[in-house]
Amino acid sequence: MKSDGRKKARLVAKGFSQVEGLDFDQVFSPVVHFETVRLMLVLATLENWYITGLDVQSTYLYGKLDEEIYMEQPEGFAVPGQERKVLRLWCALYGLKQASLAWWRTLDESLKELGFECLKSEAGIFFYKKKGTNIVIGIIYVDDALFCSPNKAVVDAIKAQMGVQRPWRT
Amino acid sequence: MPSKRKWECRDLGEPNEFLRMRITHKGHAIHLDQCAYLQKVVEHCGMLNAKSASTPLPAGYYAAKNTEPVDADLRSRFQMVIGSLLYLMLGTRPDIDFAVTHLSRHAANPSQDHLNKALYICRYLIGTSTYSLVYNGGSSAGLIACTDSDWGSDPTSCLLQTGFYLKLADGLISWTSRAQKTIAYSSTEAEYMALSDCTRQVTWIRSLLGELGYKLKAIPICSDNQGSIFMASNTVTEPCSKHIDIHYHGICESVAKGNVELFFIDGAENPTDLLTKNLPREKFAKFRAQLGLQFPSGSI
Repeated sequence: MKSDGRKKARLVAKGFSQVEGLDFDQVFSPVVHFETVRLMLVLATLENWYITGLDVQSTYLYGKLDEEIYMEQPEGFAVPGQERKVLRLWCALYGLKQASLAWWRTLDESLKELGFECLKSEAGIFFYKKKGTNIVIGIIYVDDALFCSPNKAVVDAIKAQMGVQRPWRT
Repeated sequence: MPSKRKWECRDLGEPNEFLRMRITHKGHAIHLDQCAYLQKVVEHCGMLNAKSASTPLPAGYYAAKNTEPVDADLRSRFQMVIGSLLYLMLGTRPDIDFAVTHLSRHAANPSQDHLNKALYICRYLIGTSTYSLVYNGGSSAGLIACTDSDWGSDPTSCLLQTGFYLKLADGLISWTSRAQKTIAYSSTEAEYMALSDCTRQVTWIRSLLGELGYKLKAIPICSDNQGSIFMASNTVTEPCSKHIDIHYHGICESVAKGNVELFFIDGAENPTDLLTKNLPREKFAKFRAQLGLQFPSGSI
């Protein structure tokens, strides 16, 4: 139930039935440290940078899987006449043990395409630096992100490239 | 599948919250707080109508080990309270760092006294619920670190307590209070290990900012112990420091390279004291004011 009375349902994988080494290998995924968040916010204030927030909807579903995982058809939603078939997962589902890592890898890849580099000393910070334009620093905690830059236009351009299909709700 | 698939994102504009931390801009200053979460914690602990306390724990209090068998109900309640307090501490409340980490050592088998003391921290938070971490954007003070250690005050453990913090723009950005893993033979040694731990944190922040293109001068670290500053600045092995683990000597390299610079400050004026023991009210309030924790005047 959401606060406005709408009901929310989500297809969830039974992660507890996964077998280590077979269905998943690495499950840890990096998140940003609290102290880094504070440091970046203070830095942005000192430098008088523009800060903006972004939040990715149903994040984990974007994670691409390295492993080959099959799932039984969800109860009550099996394809008629093909009830005995199983589903092959291409993308992660909520509940899968490696969902968060799969998402992080996808995120890392996509941000690289946009020209960001993940810092060596902090996996939650992505740095954008190109000749002739201003820098952008992305602070990312799973699906929550902050972008700081001296130049609002550069951030806006990147946000547009990150792609938002639906109109932005503000 | 196309690799350039677009995500459904929500633009939050100028953010007023991140990781449940409220962000408020006031002129050149930025305020961080978790007031809403704090209220929830206090309510959840059933402490809404409790009387406020002036310090997180009574001065000089040390939690003794519980020798009774584990009480599962008590344990889960204790862990719930401590867990919430830890989250607050990590976010915006360095002032309760020592109190929370000190109690959390007993999370495996807490006594009724431990639970009462955890609720005592809640009572302290009630009186300070609107405090926020304030950073002054107009500040010209660079990064500065401060360390302290407490050796031998804790009757329940022979381990020393280390505390250090990093400050930028008049507010704390990083703080740590923890029991050391190694036994120290003297207070100099204890301070030396604290300095060394602090240096590691400073080195990390240096390399992080370095990656972002900042070239920093030596970062000052303050300590109230001359002996440890001497040891870190002079790489001679004294008979009394032969046994110190090799990894602690990393600090000598940082000093020699000019990455950090050590300064002496008077022990009575060292705010880090608050991260190593339970202080009396006046001293606590004095040091807390130096952390950048402020009571917002007339707002909220």
